[in-house]
Amino acid sequence: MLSFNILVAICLIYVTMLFIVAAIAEQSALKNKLNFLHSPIVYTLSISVYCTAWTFYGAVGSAARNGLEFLTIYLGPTLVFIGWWWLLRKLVRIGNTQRITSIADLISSRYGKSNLLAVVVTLLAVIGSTPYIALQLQSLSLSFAVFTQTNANAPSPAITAFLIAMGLAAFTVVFGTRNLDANERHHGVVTAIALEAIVKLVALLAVGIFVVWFVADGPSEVLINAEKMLPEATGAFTPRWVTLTFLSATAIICLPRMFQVVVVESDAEKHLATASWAFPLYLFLMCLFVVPIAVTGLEILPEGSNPDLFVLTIPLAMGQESLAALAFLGGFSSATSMVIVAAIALSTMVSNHIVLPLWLRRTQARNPESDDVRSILLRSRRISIVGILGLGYLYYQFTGGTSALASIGLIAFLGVAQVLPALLFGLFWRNASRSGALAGILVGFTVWAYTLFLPSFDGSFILSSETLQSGLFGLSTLRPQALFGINISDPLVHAVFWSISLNMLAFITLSLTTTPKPLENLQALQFINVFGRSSQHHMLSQISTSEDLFVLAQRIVGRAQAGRLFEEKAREQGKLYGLPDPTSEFIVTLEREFAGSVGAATAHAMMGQISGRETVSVEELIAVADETAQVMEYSARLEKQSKELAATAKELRRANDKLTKLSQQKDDFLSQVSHELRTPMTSIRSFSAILMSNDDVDRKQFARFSSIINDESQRLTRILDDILDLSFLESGKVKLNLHRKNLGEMLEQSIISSRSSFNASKVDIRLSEATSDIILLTDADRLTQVFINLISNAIKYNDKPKPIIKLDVDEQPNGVIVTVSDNGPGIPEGDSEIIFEKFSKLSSGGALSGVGLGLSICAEILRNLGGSISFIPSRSGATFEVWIPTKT
Amino acid sequence: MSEKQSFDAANKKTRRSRKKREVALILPIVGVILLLTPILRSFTIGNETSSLTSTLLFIFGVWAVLIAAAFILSRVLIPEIREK
Repeated sequence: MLSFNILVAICLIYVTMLFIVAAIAEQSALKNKLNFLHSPIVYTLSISVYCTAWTFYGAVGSAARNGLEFLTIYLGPTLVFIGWWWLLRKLVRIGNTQRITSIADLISSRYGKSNLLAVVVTLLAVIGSTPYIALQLQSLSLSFAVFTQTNANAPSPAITAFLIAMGLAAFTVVFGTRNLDANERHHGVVTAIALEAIVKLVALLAVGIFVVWFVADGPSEVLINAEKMLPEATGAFTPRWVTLTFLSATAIICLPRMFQVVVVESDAEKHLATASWAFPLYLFLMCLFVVPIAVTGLEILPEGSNPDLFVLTIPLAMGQESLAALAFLGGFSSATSMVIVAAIALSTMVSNHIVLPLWLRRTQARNPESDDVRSILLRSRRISIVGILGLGYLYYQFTGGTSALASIGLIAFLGVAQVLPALLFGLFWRNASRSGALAGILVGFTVWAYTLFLPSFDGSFILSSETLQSGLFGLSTLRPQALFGINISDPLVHAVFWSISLNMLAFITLSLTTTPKPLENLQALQFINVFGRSSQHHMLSQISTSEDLFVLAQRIVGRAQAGRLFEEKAREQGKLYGLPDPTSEFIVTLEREFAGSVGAATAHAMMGQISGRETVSVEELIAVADETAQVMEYSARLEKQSKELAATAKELRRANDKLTKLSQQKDDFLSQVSHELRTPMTSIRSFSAILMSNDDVDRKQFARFSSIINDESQRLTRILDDILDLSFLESGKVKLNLHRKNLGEMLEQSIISSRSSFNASKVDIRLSEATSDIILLTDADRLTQVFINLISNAIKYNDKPKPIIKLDVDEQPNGVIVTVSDNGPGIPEGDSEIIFEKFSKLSSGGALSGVGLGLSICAEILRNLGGSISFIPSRSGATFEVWIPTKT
Repeated sequence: MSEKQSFDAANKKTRRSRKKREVALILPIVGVILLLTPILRSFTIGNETSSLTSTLLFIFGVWAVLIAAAFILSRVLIPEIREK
């Protein structure tokens, strides 16, 4: 028989080996020699922390008692892992992008970085995990007891359990809180866990092979024996079967230690692809020999032997001490790896979500940068680890190892499973809200405690056995194991049904009836669209300075890491030295970085404290709007573009019309000009011919003819002058003769000139008063010409019996507006655009003479003088507005 | 013509990768149907030999097939992973 001392020695050697492996892994991780550590095999093996002592010893016990039921505990995770693409991959991606440190952190981060939610999940996890840790201590002390039954000197199981708890706490403190790594990765621990995974698999396979081929006569005999020895009902495909599979599937995601190894410690999604088949394969191998061991144990060991210890007792009974020692080591590995990872996960949660927020609140009045966050975190984690193991030990002492191993495990599973609705809905449902998650978890937790956890103490804790029998306050509808009078025979199925249903009901109801806060919406989008184009560059606007941020960063992630981070960022921003600018993008990166150490809620609170705000603005929300909004924006932009195009097309069409019309006008003008030039030419030519050929022209006739010739040539000159004038004005070669002149005088002169040229005594020209004192620095001759042209046009085209022309002067701060309006026929709407063009003659111009240069000359003169002329559409007559600047 | 061909090829490619991802969804559903629904009891109870052995073999058989399928699927899906 192996002595207790040898056993202790084996354990110590084994633990020393773990220490060395963990230390080597830490060292090579520091030196970035991570090839082996980054392999998917290490990742897969670390996930096998799922297989605890409960699996190692308890599965055989369960098979001996309940038939095939134990398989459900492995089938659930198998189903989750082969569906990795849809759930686990999303979790891992979110875990990496959001720097998630624990399941509580994930839930809190998803629901608006709510710390309350984080605290609730943390407490739930601690309550759910404590019995589980107690279970490991119990199985370890039981397995020790197997070897020490005959040894009077051996310590009692309670002391063994205490020593084990102390040893595990020491290991976890050393390797679990060595540093505050970015993203909370613990390479040393993970490698040690992977090694333990191999030990437990090898141990179980060795015992299994020994049992099948050396104790029994091969697999067929085992199967025949199984028919006889195992319970009649296999338990397969019953409601309990489905419930247990569901619970174990939940556990692989929601248990804090599973979340730690699957999500937090993962570095690549590719590893998940390997784990998707390798982890089910591991479970498959762990289960392969469970039934043979159970059957053989029942057959060869005396009646009443504890089936939970068959893995140890069969080799011992057959005298195979070294195999027994290996089996013991396997059980030891299973228990220790579970406890270590659970303690790390829980201590992270406790320190990030309970200790640190309390400390932050205490120091709120002071500057948050004034204390070293890192040392506080590390200290609080160490204390938490000791505290959690202490709690587990107390629980073990309290329950005294009364219940069968498996039942405690299942109770713990369901407790933690209350997080599932909040987690799943949070990943896929946008409207899942913080209040919904909180209500769901609290309702589910209460129902779990009432229907399963408290009844598991058989009336010795809080709920009396009387209450268990007749319900709370004697109300039979509230009987803990038959709520609302619905009789579900299996208490576990009953508890799962009610707790999960009521949890979901509360969750959905509150999510639908409450309005989430902006930050919640933002996080919901980040989580749900984690595979989409996500950018959180607009999260927080810069209010804080780089110096503040740097000090805070040093406190949280350490001097070296903070320096590296800031340096990298500064280089990215194109700065050669100094601190990077506190852009919103940088602040978001930094907050993520902090979240990797202290959790999302705390990181957010600290950044909020330093930047003075914690809210999200509407712009920031719009910037990260979901795809629908983006599509909508895109289509709106398209619509705008097409509208712009339509407007441009319309404008082009109008320009084209105008051009066509202008070209028409030009043609018309050319013929008009030829005509105009021809008419005086013709008369000059014919009269000069008469004078030339006829000698008998009398003096009187001669004088008349030569006067006609003179007049016509003058008219010809005038037309040519006009054309020349215009071309001069247009080319800008005209020389302005600027001097000061009274506007009133110019206007009066224009009126006189116009009247004289048209013999227009009956025309009523009204000049408004108060014009005499306006002095302009201008070319008076040119300006007068403008007025003459306008007045002449007004007289010339007026068809009224009593033409009225009004001249109004309006003095402006930096110029003068002279309005010339008449009561004539006006200008047709279609022509108003071309009247200032050269050669334009209005369609309604009638037979009146004119080459259509007057208004173009006016426009050109004013352009040269720095003013402008415009036609004002009015109902009666034509109105022209002339703008002359005071300073030219 | 060539443009149409390249378009068809691209279309085919996206359709194929979508199909791969859909297979990833189908596998756990197949697993649930085979391992959790009581309909499958007909496979095991109707057998002449006792139910325990056949149930055990059935479950382990399905399990092994699922693992093999997951192995193949993971090989197929690894190129689809786009890590940042």
